[in-house]
Amino acid sequence: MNNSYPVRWRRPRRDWLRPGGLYPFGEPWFDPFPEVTDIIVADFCPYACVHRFFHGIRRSPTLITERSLEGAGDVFHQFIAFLKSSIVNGRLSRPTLGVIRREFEDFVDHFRRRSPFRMDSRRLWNDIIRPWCERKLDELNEMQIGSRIFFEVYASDTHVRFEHNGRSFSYPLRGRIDELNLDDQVIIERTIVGAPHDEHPPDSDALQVWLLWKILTSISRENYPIEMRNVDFRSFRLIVETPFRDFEISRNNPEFEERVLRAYSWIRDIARDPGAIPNAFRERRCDREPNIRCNFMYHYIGCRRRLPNYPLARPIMRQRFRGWYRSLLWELMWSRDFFEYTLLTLNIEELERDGIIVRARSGGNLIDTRDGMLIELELPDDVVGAVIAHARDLGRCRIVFGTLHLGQRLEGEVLESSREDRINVLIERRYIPIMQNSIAILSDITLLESNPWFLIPLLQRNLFRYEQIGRYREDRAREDAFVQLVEALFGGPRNLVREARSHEQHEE
Amino acid sequence: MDVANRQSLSLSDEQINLLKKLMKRFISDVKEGVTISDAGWIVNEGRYDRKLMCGIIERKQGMLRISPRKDLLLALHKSDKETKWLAGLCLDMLKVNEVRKIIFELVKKFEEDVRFKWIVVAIGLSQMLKELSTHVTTELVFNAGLSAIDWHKEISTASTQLALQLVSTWCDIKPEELNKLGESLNNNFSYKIPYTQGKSDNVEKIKRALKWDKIAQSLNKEEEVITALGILWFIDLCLTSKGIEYPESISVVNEDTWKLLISKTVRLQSEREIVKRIKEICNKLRRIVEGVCWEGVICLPWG
Repeated sequence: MNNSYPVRWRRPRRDWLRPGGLYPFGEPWFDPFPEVTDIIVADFCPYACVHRFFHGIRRSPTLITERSLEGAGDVFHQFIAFLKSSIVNGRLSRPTLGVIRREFEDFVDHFRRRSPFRMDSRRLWNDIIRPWCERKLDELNEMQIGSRIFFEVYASDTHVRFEHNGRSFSYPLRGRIDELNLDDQVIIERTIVGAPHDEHPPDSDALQVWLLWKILTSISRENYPIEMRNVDFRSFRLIVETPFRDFEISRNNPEFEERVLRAYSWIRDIARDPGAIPNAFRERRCDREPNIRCNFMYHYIGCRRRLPNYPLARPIMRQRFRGWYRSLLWELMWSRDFFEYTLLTLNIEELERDGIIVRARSGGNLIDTRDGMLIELELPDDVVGAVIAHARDLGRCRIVFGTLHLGQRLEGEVLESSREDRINVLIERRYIPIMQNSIAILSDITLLESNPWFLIPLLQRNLFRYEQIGRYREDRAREDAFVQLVEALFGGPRNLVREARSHEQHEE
Repeated sequence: MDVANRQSLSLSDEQINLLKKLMKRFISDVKEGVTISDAGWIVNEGRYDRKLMCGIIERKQGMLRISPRKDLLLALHKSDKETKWLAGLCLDMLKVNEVRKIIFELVKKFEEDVRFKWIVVAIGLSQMLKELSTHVTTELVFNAGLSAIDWHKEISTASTQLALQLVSTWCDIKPEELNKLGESLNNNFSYKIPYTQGKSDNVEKIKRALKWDKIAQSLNKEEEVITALGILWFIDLCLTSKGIEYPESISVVNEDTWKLLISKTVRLQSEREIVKRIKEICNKLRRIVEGVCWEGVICLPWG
């Protein structure tokens, strides 16, 4: 292994985070603000981490599912969140398997209306949801109205602590908890990976729930939502839940500590130093463990994919793209990561004064509409105009329930309200219950400007896809417009001729 | 029936496994530095039929190996993904061998003629400095009196001039010398190294905007790093022009470059050391001229 660990992490200085503090240009002077998935990927394979940071590949290399069940993990988790919150808010009581089945059909119908849904819902029920429900029916029946259960809770901190050889190291980390049950004192990570007779939990999910717990225990108490200030997360149980079994993960886990520190070292090196890329390649997991199951090898992005013979200019194109991948990563760090550092480093008054956030109060109950959950927010007088102008301009914002360290961050559509000091926010994902309900109200609500950061990885992904497109046979390549365009643009055997120009020359 | 189907073979699992074994052997031998004619041979155990003899396998004195011919991919059109990937990699290894020959040639010529080393470094640096086309602010471009399109268009000519000025401290190289080396390499390449053109007014404007005289003065104190960067970028140009595609093959060339060229030419021992020095250089250059993202320009060729 070439990379040494633990490494020192560069965070932005506090004065850089204030307006006019630092002009974002070139290589960022700080290291990334990783997500839990970044750590999981870097731990699994450093070269998969290169794909994630440079080529915008967001999918996990560890998740291998059949085509008919792609995305099933998300539906599985969302349905359970929907089901449990229906019980907690009193809409459902003591459900039977038949009732749950009907709820599932309605849920899938709703899902279908929102986005293309190509999944085989019968298989989803039989293979995934049903085994889980059969196992959990008693537990569901014992659930009380008003239980304090939260779903998709976002946890983030700039100094998450890890131990190594008796010393403590801290790194930034953020992630999303599938289920946080305050009454039963348990954190649940849900996955569809696994089989009925598995003896061990899926490794990446075990690491994931442990990392999320690490974030929770690193956040200082004053940064918890008021309603959680008395909760001690240190004693919470960590559970990985598959459709077939629950696995409890040990909180005291020196192996995880070590693996995570090594993953941070890869992330820092890959983001900072071009020399780390060949190193990451040499440490590729599939070379060390030829039988490893990796989604990237042949299937998804094709780490080991045969490249088409044409265009011939592809290596030149790739050479040009290489610098762009790095520039795009820097852009992502300057926008998304810098913003996250800002949110978590400055105090709430500074953020408000600098115009980064707007604090609001709920103007009433949540209204369940056909298009989503509608919430009316009361705004301070001096920002109403700006928020409404923003609503007219972009029409979207992020709404934070809870605190910036621990809460739910949901995307919403800003709508004008009939009252001058108020706006309406429509949260589309109605199937995910939000923290604010009749049982557990987290009183802090924050509006953030919504930035389309996902576009940068999308751009990286598209560039990477261009590298892989092509034709195997010369006759087909000659007729392929994309291949011919690449040849012309990047100096291959064909020249790009502008039709209009040749016309003009003819006329002359 | 189309060409691919006519030429591709239907092979049994046993045959495919044998082919995979042969291809892996060929690849690992080339990686180890074995010449193409000697690479990939294993003892013939006789477990293959005539069908496989159709040009895919070569035999010699009780030995056999995969035949690394250009239509190998076409012949294995119907096989599984791993086989096709290995076939692609086998063909890439042929190109690796060609670039390796260039590296050996450079080692020899560097010892014979120091001037030749600087020609190589100048070509490599001019390749690296092409990154200036995007890593500058629009303010710098407009202040230079150029439009963004002109800047982009002129930078490939300018980069050669900038590189020549940079190496002129150590050796006065003429553009014709670069063209001569480029021409001899081009016979071998699928992508041709473009000819260096003469100076123009716009090139002078670019030099002024970049305060290149001062930058060159500062970089001239870094002979080791500049030499290493020039050679690394030159080899990168060769492997790109040769059409080497797979990261596995690129990694082999990189290792050879370090082992055979860099370690013998400069005292810097590792990429890490070069990266550290580059960071220091970029910090210095930032103080001379703003508006250039030096980390995006002065960098190692990969990544």
